[in-house]
Amino acid sequence: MSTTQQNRSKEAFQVPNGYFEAVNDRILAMTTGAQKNPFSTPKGYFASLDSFDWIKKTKKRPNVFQLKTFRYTAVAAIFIAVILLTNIPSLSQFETIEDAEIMELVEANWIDAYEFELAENINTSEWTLEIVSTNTIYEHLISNPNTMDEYYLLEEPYK
Amino acid sequence: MSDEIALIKSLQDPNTQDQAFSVLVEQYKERLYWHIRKIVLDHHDSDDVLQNTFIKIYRNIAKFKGDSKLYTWMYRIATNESLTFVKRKSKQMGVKSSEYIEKTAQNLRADPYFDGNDIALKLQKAIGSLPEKQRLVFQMKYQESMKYKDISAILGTSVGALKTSYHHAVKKIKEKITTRQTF
Repeated sequence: MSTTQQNRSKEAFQVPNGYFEAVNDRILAMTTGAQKNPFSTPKGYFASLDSFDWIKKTKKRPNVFQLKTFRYTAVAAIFIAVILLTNIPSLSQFETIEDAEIMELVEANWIDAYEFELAENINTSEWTLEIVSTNTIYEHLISNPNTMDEYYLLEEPYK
Repeated sequence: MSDEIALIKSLQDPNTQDQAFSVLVEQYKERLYWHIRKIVLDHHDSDDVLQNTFIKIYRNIAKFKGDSKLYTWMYRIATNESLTFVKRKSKQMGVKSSEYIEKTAQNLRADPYFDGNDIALKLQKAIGSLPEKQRLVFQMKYQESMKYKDISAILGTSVGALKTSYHHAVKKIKEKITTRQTF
């Protein structure tokens, strides 16, 4: 058979569309003898599928989202409130007490306002503590006889 | 095609959305169910995934721009949902996705909704042992008789690569089935 004849015979025969693609499947099916779909569903399963039920579930979503948002907002609000409440008293201590209130407090506690002001102006940072011996006290008293009586008066209760 | 465009328009219109959605469910519920079932194998799991798939379709239909066919878009969602489900389940069990599928396929004999004979069971076990991509291609081509062009649109893989995957899958399955080994 010549090449031309071969080509003509090729053109003369045709196969259904997708035949060669399906050959592999058919051979496989014949080899194995396996069912293509061995799976089944419960009776009436497809009829029981309700699209409106799914729509309902879909539309419930914003509520869930709102609930979640509400929860997070509530937690954030509590957190902020705790911070504010713990900070407000300390702020009031420093910012809201006025001079008049201080004066009232001083008077109520029998503190001499003059001494109070004076005490405020004394710089105590330069003061040093000295250990004064008993001999020094005696010497001081002997050299200052006027204060001797006061000394005995002070010693009296301890006798 | 014009019916599909009209359905998409109805789905994207808030006034007709719910009615159009029930039409869509009616048209595609069985096809999508079987697609999902071939991936997750168990009926109850397939039922859950089918519900999630349709809920996702309903929520995202407004974003569908018509770049692909509606049904390939829905199949893509169903495939992703199924694979996500398998991954979640295998994570819960502390095994790989492939191990989970193999295990589920091995338990098919006890499944009341599996009516296959021994050869069908062997085939399912052999499919379960395939890598994910080959398994998907084999299921869609052999079991669902889908066209390469459509599988390509769903899986986002070239037709050439799909043909290669399918060829490898068939070869492996033939080997598994013809050898006398027990799975």
